[in-house]
Amino acid sequence: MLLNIEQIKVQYKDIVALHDVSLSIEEGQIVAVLGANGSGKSTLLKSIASLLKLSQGRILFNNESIGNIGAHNVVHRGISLVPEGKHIFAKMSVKENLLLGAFTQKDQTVREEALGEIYDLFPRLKERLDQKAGTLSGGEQQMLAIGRGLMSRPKLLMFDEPSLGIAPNLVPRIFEVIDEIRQRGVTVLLVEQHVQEAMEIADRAYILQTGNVALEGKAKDLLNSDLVKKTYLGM
Amino acid sequence: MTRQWKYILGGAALLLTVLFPAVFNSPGALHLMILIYLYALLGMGWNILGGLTGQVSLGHAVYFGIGAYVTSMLLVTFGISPWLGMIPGVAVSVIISLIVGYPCFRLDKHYFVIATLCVGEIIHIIFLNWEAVGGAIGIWLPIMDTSFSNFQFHKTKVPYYYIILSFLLIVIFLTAWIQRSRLGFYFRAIREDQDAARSLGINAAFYKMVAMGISAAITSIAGTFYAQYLLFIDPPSVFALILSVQMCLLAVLGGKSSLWGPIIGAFILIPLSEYSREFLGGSGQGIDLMVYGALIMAIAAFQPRGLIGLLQPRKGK
Repeated sequence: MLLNIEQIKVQYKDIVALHDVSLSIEEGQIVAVLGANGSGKSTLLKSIASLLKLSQGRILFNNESIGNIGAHNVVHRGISLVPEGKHIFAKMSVKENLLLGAFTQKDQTVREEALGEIYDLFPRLKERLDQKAGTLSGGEQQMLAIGRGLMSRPKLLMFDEPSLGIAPNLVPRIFEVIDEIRQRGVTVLLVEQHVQEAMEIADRAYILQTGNVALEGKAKDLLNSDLVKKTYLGM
Repeated sequence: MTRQWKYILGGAALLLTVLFPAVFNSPGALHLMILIYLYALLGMGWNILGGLTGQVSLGHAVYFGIGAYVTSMLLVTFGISPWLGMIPGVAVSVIISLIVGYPCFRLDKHYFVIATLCVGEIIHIIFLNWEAVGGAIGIWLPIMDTSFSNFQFHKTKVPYYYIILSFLLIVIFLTAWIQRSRLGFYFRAIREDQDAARSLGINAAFYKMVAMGISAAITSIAGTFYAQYLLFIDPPSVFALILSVQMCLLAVLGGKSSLWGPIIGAFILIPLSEYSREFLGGSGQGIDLMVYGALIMAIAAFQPRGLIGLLQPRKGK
C-alpha cells in the first residue's frame, strides 16, 4: 500500500468532521472519494496534507507515519495537493507559479525536466508562461494548479474537486488529464462531485457520509450500487 | 522604462543625494534630509515583513526602541562605541522579534495586526516604568569628542547625512537582492496565498520568521542611528505607537511590496509633517496626522498599489 489511513478522527474545535475514517491506496491506482457537501471530503485531503491535525488515528505513507508532521514536510515525502478553488498565485506569472511548485526540488536539471513534462501535458501553459496567472481562464487556471502540483514530482497527487467552477465542456478534459497523469506513474486521490466521470476513471472509490465511510469498493461495483444510483446519480 | 534609462536615472539620483550637502549645507535642509532617509530606512525595514511577506505589523517601534536603548545603555554604562553596540542591539531586537513572531504568526491577518500593536504598547509601558534604563525620564547620551568611532559629530550634520544615506543604500541593495532571490519568491508566495504556499512545501512559519528577523534588524539599526543623532531618548520618542503607524503608512502610501515605495512615501510624508508643524506651530499639532489619514484614504480608493503605481502603469505580465 502506498497510503494507509487508519481510523482517523479530525475535528474543528468541538465539531467533528471525520469520525473514524480508514482508507488505503495502492500504487498506480486512482481512488475517488465521493460524498455530499460537508461529508468530510476536503477535510480528509487536508488531513493527509497535514494542513489539519489528527485527533486520533494515523496516516502511513510508504509505511511511515505522516500524520501531523507539518504541511511542508508532507510535500517532501512525495505527496502533493491540488487545492479546491485552484488557489493559484494570481499576481505571479504562470512560470513563477510552476517554479513555486518545484520548491522541494533543489536540483536545477530536475526542475527543467519537470517543467518540460508539464509543457508536454499542457501546451497552453507554455504559450502563456509570462502571463499573470490571474488572467488565465478558469480551465487554464485549473491546469496550472495541476501542473504546479506535479512540479514537486509527487508519488501521490491529490485533487480537491478539480472540476469545480470549470466550463462544462472542459470538464471531460480535466478527467482525461488525470487519467494521463496516472499513466505517467503518479498515484491519484480524487475528490469529486461529478460522480459518473470520476467513477469511470477510478479503480476504487469511497463514499463519505457525515464524516464516516458509508461504502467502499471497486468503482465499477459502486457505480451499480443502489446507494450511489439513488443518492448521486438520481436514478 | 528601458534598462539604460533605469541606470541613468539611478545614477543621477545617487549623484544628487551624494552631492546634496555640498549645495545645501544649512542645518535645516540637512536635518530634513536626514529625517527623510531615517524614515525611508524604517519604511524599508517594515516593508520586508509588511510588504514583501504581507504580514502587517503595527508594533515595529519595539525594534526601533530596542536598537536605540541597547546601544545607548551599552554606551552609558560600559562606554562601548555605538558602532559595536549596534550588533547586540540588532541581536536583541531579532531575538525579541522571533519571540513575538512565534505566537503571533499563528494568528490570522487582522489578529496578527492587533497582536503586534499590543506587544508594542506593552513594551512601551515596560520601558516607561523601568527605572534602571531611565524610566520615563529617558537617557541622555554623554557628549564625546567629534569622531567617527564615537558616532558623534558636533560641528556639522554632514557626517550623519552620509551615515544614514549609506545605511539606506545598503538596505536598498539588500531588498533588491531579496526580491530577486528564492527567499523573496517564497515571501511573495506566502503573501499571495499562505495555504497554497504551505501545500507546495513552503514552510510558511519559518519564512515569516526570517522576514520578521531581517525586518527587525533593519529597524533596530535605524534606532541606533536615531539615539546617536539626537543624543537623547525616552520611551515616547522611540516606542510610541505613532512611530509604528508611520512606518506602515509611508510604505503603504509609497507602495508597499515595491522596492522604492517606502522611499517615495518618506519623501512625501516627512516634509509634510515637518512643514505643517513649522507653519501651524503648537496649534497645528496633529494636523499632519489628519493629512496622513486623508492621503491613506485617497490611496486606498484610487491607487491601491501606492504612489509608485502612478510611475509604473501596469506591467505587461
